[in-house]
Amino acid sequence: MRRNSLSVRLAAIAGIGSAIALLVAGLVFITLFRQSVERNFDARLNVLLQTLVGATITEEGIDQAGAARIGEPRFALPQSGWYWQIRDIPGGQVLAASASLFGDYLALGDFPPADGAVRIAVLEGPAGRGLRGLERRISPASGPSLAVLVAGDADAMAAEIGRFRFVVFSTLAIFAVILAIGMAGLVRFGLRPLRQVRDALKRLERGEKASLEGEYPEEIAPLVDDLNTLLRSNREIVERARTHVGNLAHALKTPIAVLMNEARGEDPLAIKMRRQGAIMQDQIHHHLDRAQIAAQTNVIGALTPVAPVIEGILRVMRKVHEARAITIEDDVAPDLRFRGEKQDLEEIVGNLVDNACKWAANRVVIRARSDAKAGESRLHLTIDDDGPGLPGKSRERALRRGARLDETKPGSGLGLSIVFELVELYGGTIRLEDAVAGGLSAQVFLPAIEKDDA
Amino acid sequence: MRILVVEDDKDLNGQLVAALKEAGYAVDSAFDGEEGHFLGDTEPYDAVILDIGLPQMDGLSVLERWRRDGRTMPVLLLTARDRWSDKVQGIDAGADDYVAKPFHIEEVLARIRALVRRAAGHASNELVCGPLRLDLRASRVTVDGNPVKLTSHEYKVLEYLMHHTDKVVSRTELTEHLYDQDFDRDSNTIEVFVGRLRKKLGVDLIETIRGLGYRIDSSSHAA
Repeated sequence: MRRNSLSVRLAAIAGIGSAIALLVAGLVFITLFRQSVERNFDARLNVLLQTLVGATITEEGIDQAGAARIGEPRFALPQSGWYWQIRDIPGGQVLAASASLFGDYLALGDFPPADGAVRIAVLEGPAGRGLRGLERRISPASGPSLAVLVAGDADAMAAEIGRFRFVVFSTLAIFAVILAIGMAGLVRFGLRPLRQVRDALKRLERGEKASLEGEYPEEIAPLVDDLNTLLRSNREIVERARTHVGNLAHALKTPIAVLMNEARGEDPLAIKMRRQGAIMQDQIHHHLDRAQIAAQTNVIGALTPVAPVIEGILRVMRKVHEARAITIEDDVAPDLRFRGEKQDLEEIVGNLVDNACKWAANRVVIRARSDAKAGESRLHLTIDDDGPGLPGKSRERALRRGARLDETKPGSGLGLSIVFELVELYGGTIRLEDAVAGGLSAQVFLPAIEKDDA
Repeated sequence: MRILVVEDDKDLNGQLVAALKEAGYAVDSAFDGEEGHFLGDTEPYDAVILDIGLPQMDGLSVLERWRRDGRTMPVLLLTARDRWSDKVQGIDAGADDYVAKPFHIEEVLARIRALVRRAAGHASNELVCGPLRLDLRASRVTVDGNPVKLTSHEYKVLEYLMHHTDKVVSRTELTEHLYDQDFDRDSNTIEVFVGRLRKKLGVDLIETIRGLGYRIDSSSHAA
């Protein structure tokens, strides 16, 4: 997929947006859960702390035995993860500790605040386990101040949070996948009209359709309608120009014919009239032909089946040259289509075949093949005759404007040059070579497509 | 040989008619499609020169109607629109040849000569029957290589008979093909021409088939 694509843009925006949203949601869930778990844990520690203080600290001092009344058996279990200890302030000496500490103590650098507020301590217990504890300063009426600490196993809590995190993230990941699928569908479905426009344009370019077809949503329907209108008006303008050109040709040619035929004989005026008439005729022919070509090349999407064009021209040739003993053979691949106007293909093929027939002794062969080069499908036309052929220099001259190699054969002499110009216009090539039969072989390559890659 | 010219431009029509008459053809002319169609449908022509752009009915429709009704005379189209699609259309409508405007009259004459010849089944510009040779291009007649001077009417009669060797040609047919429609037809004049032809040619090529007409038999004079 290309970077500058609406699909990619939509997918990127939606993807990044929902990824961020899911991530934030996950983090918020986990934070809330952690806070909730910690609050519960702290509340329990607090109860234990109050109970411990009530049970062990008396008027007489510390009553180690009172600890048994706390009702938390894990304080008695060695290295259970649940501990308490009482230090004196400011000495820091451990005065009493739970049996679970097993003679060890929990290292704390400082003391809880003097106002009796409870502080949270995160510390490391025996066997390197993480502990979370609550510590509070108790100041008995007699004796020194004491720091009373109750600590519980924080690893279990962390594991619980970890489990929760896993569940949250896997759930969100599933969400993400579902969202991605949904978005992909949305992009596909939502952008389908645009893809339809794109496909319709391709068909238009290939010449299969004359306008953009299909129903489009209201957002792009005006665009499609405008484009169709533009195409239609373009075609109409071209058509009108062509009609005008044709009318002008028709209107001028008859009077010129009359003038030219009237100016007979060797009278100087007649000679001058004939000469000027011939120039007029040449000019009209030349410029009208070009005007038509120029009009045609602006029409996109023209596509012409090759076989009917060649058949039509051969019908003409066979009829016109009926009296001469020429065989005209054709070998045209079916389904060939020329990427251009019918008229132009007719001019190219017609003029070349006409020339071949004029010069041929016995035989003219027309071949049309598809010829793919560099992945581009081309139409390869070969027109061979067995006439006298053309020497190299004359070949170049033959393709130039108005060159006429032999005045004895009828024809305006513009035939080959118009062929050359048309072929160039379509980005094709034309070569004049020696035919196997001895005459001239015209090889023309033109843009084409085969039916099956449409 | 009788030719029909259907061309709406009066000047061009006049030029064609004049040139054809000068070349020895009997010529009728029409200036629109309807008139042209009617003449071609009712009169026996040896060839027709037909413009495509005609008032009333265009040339191609005229041609198509003739062909549909079984009229097979050779037709030369005159066309100002000389794109290949026009030529294909013309030939498909039943034309035998086309000439693009503007043209030299000589070009049209050459094409007409070729069409008439083709219709009669001759491949060359020279019709030969025994010692008799008729050069269509130069309108020249020779017997054993010696030129024979003929008047245009005599030449027309001989040309028609030579085009239709081995066929019996009636006097009416000769009259119809040798004179345009305004001519005061009198079949007796044909007899006069045939008589003079026999005398001038010196050989008895033209047979009279009693009650039917005339015939030039090519086989009996084969060298």
